[in-house]
Amino acid sequence: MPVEVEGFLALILHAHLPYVRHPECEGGLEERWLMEAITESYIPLLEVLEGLERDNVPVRVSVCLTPTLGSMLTDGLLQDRYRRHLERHLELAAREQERTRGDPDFAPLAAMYRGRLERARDYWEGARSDLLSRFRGLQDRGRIELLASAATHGYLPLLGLRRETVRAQVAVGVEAYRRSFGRDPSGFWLPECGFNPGDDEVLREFGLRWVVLETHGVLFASRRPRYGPFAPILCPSGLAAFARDVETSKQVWSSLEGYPGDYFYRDFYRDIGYDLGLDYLAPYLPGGRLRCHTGFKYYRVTGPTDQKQPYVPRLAEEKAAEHAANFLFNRSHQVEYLAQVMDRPPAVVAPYDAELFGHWWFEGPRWLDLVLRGIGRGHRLRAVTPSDYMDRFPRNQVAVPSMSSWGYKGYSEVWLEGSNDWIYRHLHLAADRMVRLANAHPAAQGLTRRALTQAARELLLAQASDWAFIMKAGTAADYARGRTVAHLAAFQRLEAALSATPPGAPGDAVALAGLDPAWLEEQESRHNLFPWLDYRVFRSDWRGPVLTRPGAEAEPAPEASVPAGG
Amino acid sequence: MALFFLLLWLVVLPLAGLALAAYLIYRGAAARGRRVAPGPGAAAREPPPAAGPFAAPFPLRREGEAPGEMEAAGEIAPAVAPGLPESYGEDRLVLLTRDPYWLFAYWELGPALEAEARRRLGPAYAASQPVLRLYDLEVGDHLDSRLTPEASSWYLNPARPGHRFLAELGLLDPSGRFLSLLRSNLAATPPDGPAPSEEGEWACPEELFLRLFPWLRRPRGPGSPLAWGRRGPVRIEAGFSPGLRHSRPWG
Repeated sequence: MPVEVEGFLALILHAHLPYVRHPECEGGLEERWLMEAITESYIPLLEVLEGLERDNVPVRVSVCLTPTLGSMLTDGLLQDRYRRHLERHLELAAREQERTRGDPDFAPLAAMYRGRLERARDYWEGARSDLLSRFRGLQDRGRIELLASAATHGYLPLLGLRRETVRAQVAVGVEAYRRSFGRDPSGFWLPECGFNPGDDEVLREFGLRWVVLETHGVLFASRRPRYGPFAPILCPSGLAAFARDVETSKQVWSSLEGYPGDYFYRDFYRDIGYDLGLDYLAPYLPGGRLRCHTGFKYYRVTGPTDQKQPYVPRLAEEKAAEHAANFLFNRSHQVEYLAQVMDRPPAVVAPYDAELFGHWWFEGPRWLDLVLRGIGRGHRLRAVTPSDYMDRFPRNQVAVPSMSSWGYKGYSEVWLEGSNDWIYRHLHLAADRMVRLANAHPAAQGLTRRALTQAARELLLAQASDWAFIMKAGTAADYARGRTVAHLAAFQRLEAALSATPPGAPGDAVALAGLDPAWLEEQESRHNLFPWLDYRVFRSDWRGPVLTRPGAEAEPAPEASVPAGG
Repeated sequence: MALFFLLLWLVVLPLAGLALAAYLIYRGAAARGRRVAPGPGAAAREPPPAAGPFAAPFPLRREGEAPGEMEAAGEIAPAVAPGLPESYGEDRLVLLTRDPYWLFAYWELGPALEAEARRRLGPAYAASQPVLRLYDLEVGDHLDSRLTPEASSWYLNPARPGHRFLAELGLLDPSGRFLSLLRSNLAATPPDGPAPSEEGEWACPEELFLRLFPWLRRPRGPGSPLAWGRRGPVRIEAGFSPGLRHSRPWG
């Protein structure tokens, strides 16, 4: 018998990787971020979501696949490379089984990893290398809600000096969504939950209905939120802002109190990539000698010690079940408590990085599966998406959310500090010049159009929040600096030629101004993100196409539309 | 006597703090000149440090639950990146909000403006000092930061949440006259606590508000702005001059 609903749980999985496609170099360290995430997180999560559908568990989950990740998942070159990566790892798995033969602790684990890799290969083949379509199918069948996000995960509070920059990031993100998922988005994932008052107006231009903010973004709003973080507030523009729940985030995220640090869970750091000889590992490492994670990890967290104990899947499974039950118990008490204080059911919003599940927290997908099945069995909670909640409770308190992010200390410090503050003088100026160029060229053709488009593409790529984040985090900082400089330098080269090209001149006039068409072509093939990109998204008068309701037939693509007044 | 020492500490401690901050910023600026960033492709990659549990090998975006790691990790980057121009020939002063307490300013000031300053200040030019003047548009006062000559960016700590600011870069001559050369955009700091009270048609009494999030009363880590419930907002007013002597530049 179904239990009366006391609260709503909105689980949101945010899957994102920066654009790390390098045609010139197969198997690089950054490309492996994608390969590992596919095997360890995206496929296992799809299996969980499809399993819930198969068993008709009445739950809904929100998923965000950022445009850069979505582009990589549909890129033929990277798909082929993933397949080869998988083959190499299957080979390593076979060798690991051979190496650990007879070992009572490690042999079963080697067999487990081999089994998982074989399952990943079967899944990949079954999906015809197209994971994005699998997510789209889940949305089309009403099982999940997919969110849109900014074009390249630009951190809007620091880029938003010009509204055109925010608009371009949003416009391209929404267009990528429409092309990938065949409908208009309702929710928008703000990169890093970064919000600045006023950004909501841009999001509303594109018909977006809701975003998720860090808790204090709502709590510190211009008016005290009547329901605290347990109901959305409406910006004056009409955009709903949901707040991240503190308790649910801590239980899963926290390295100290969170579930993933349990001593019986698999340890992330002990990996044969660091433990075994280079001769043995060489064929599976970048460049044949750069030690890195291989995914073969045989130990459990054990505790604050280097003397790690072997991993025992059965004990970890028991822990995952225990933690799932604990999570549901806590949520049940949380909503019961809140129901006394509120005059409507609370919405507990729990966003997580998708890569946390499986990649970092090996047992995470299993935990998620158990939590959702627990809810589906008639819990006091219902697992819904923020759109579902909005449909049910469209009237909400109006207040202006506070500038905020989910970064360390809650504001912009992660992306604006000693290691990365130098980027903004370049990024802002490039945005100024891009807007100037787009305004000057209302309808460029031919080579000039391609140069303008590539300039917009390079700028968007430079704007990714990942580069500043990595510079701050220290690991792979040289790579992040290199990417920032490379995209900005390419932009400047294009900009120099375009500034010397009179608007309205024939399409190839930009070549006369010093642009080498061969170089442009190479740049287009190396940095090929968003092949459909329209540089006019940077025009000051650009307005998003009028969106249809989510689920309804999509409007014609903006290629066919003309910017207002343009 | 005790009161005297108390007052002394009240004055000395903030000043010492400011001096330390200024020194650290100066060190940061000095360090920038020395380091050289390798160009693209020259990435020297190392395995991730097997330190804290969240140092994942690819950039998981996450809240900084382990402040120690986050604090220690970043390094001071060079102000000039090889492959990018040192200047763009566009005079500008940009003000960015970092958090409720801090702002960041960067600028480019070309030779033409400098020549104009030299002309307008005359003999006083040599003895004048570069200053970043931060106007608080809520209060109507300003805070001067004396800059090192080679600086092209500066962190400002007005520590005034929920205020709007505007900055001017200029020269302060020995007589105390300020010559403004560049004006910034407007920047606002976010509030660092909930709005003081409920307005309008929605009523939510204080005790009900606190019942919604009892965890606000518990101590929280330094990484969360929600620590306001415990410590209350930080307010350092030192350094602001009491009044705005000349007319508001924005008015």
